[in-house]
Amino acid sequence: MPTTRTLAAVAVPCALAAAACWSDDRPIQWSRPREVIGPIALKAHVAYIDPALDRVVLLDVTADRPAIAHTAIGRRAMYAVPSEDRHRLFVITRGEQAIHTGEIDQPPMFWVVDAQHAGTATSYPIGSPFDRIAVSPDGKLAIAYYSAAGNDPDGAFRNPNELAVIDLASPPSATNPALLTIRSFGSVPEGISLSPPMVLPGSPDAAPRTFAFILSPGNLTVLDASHPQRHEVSIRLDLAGAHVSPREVVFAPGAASAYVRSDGARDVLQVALEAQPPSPTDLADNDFRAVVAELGAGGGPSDVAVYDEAGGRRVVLAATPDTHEVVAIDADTAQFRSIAIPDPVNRILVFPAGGTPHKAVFAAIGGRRLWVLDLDHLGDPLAQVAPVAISLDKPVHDVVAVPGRDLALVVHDDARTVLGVLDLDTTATAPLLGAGKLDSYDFSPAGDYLIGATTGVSRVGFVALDNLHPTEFRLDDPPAHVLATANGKIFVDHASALGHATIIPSPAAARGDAVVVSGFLTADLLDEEP
Amino acid sequence: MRRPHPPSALRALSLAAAVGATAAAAAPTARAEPRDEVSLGAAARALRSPSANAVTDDDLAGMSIGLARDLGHDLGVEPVPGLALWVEAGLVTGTASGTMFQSLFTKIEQLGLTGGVAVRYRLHRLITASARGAVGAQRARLAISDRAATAYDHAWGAMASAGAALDVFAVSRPRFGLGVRAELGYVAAQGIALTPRTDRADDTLAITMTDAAIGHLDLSGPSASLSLLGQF
Repeated sequence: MPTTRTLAAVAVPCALAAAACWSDDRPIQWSRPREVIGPIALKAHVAYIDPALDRVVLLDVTADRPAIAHTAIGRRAMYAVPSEDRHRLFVITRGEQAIHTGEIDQPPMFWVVDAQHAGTATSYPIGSPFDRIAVSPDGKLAIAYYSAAGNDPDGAFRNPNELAVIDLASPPSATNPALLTIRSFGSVPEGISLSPPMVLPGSPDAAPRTFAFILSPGNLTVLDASHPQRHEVSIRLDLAGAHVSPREVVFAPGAASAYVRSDGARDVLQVALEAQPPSPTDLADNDFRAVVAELGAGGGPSDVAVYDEAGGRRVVLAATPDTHEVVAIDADTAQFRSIAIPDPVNRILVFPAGGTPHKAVFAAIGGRRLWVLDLDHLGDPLAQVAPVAISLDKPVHDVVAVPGRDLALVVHDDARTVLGVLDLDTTATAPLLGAGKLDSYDFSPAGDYLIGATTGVSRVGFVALDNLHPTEFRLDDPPAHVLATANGKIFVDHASALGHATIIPSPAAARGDAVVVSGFLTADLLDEEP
Repeated sequence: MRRPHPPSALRALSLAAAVGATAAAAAPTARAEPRDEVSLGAAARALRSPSANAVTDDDLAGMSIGLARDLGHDLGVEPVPGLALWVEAGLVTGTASGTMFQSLFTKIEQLGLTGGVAVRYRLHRLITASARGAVGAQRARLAISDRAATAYDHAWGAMASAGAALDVFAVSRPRFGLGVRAELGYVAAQGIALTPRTDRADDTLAITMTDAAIGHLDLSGPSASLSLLGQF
């Protein structure tokens, strides 16, 4: 029948065509879980890392209206740290193997994101899915390493003593990063500290170089990170039988030495790096040796600080709670002076940080007293050294140095609703009462304001540290994090998956001066190509 | 009484293009058939653009309402026996929900208003095939929610659609017809720029807000509909 044939001739192809092109597969990126990393304060930007869309979202808070930019990185970002100057962000991406449609084969990568040049990033293949980064203070070297968190659920084997030494001043190459495995005596690294640039005394190589101090239980490894192809130096700490775990390394400014505090050790360990001609038969031999000395703290130091006096003498302060003393050690002569402090001190702060300090604060976390010591006459054996005790109403939960000021913020563990500001000049503490728990706080870059926020309370509090005058800024939404960027802006993150933040231009700003930026974590998302 | 059939449907469709040009010259023909039509049905549109895929894995589903009139009859034009030219106006709605990143809940709502022409050819007393084209505008609304808030925006954009349909009549009388229309087509839509915003209480002086644009939502895709239609 003609009608039936005609109908079939039209309807069947149409139906088949419609069925064939009806739907398509949704790109996998939209179904990935997304645990945003951030906010991370940079110099003039605030960064968020989106591991689902594989991009870094950069908010430039310089202008009155924030600008949003994106920089693409690799798959599955895991960890990020800013450089010390906060111009760059370093990110490790786990990568993936293509198992499902839309996935890609990508190895673990180390990314350098320059906030001032959004849109481009430099990547270094690091070979293994490291999840920690140590960056040298001058920003020229980085080491990617494993945390002690355990096995990688996506891997088969993991070598926890493997490192990737990355020369950030050079492009990626066959030798950059340098992958190496440090010598192990059964333990794995728990932390890495990179030194500031050091010139070895007496070395024909006058170029400053960076040394890595790798902390493992019972072992301290020193690596010339500027020449990673050379052998590492292992310093066994447990040969005497006691379990010793290095915890903290402080570097003496301008000197090729470091001071190591260890759990289980009676003394502070000084590691001085001295020039030594390398073996002519071993191309990977070092041109230095590590000279180890025990500086007599004598009671199991719980915290250390190193500073140089105005006269050039290098002093190590070590708190020994077992002996109820603080020991000031002349780093050159190992002579020491004990200062009796009845409290089990486990926190030392020197003021001002970064310069020649003239005051030190000792705190026993959990105790109700602080001690202030005048350092100016500590080197005079005839001068009486008497720390000043400051009694507090509440136990001490934390003590934080205010940047560039002779002030310390004392956080009490009374749900962090009570703070104190310690003035080192007058040794007076001024209590500050908070409306709620201080969940997030920061200092303004010049150290003239304390900025704090309580989750669930739609306010940001400011305390002018000159006169302790408190002010508040009423927010439209409850805060989650508060940050002060290096250009003086206050960034309040409201923990929204869409991206929601309030930017306050200064602590003295009114609400009319602030701006809320919303949707920056989904900005231009629909225009993304799969 | 059966009408004579053309050699093929393709020939009929090709002749349709000449209808407008020859309308004025063609001789009027008296007919005793319904001249107006109302349709109501369900509509679906597969979302295939990258932007729509970002928001949802689902298709738009909604309803369609149509009005049509036999323009050829009004103009007195029937260049080919059995071929008719209709003007149409339509309204189609659609909704789709989805999730992004396993944590953001999304909802698209679409309202399209179109006008166009259709060429219909009676294959049988109870069966009509048609091809149509239409242009218009659509309003797209996107809402995105996390656990704390919902942001949404809507905007208008242009759209065009084309389709082929088959009408099957249960009742076909000189002044009344009742049947079912199945249609397959394609909707080409302009990407609509959206900037989702959250609501603010009217009685507060809120801090100046800058909302980041989410991009352009393109709701283009193949469409299908099934309608009840009445002609009178």
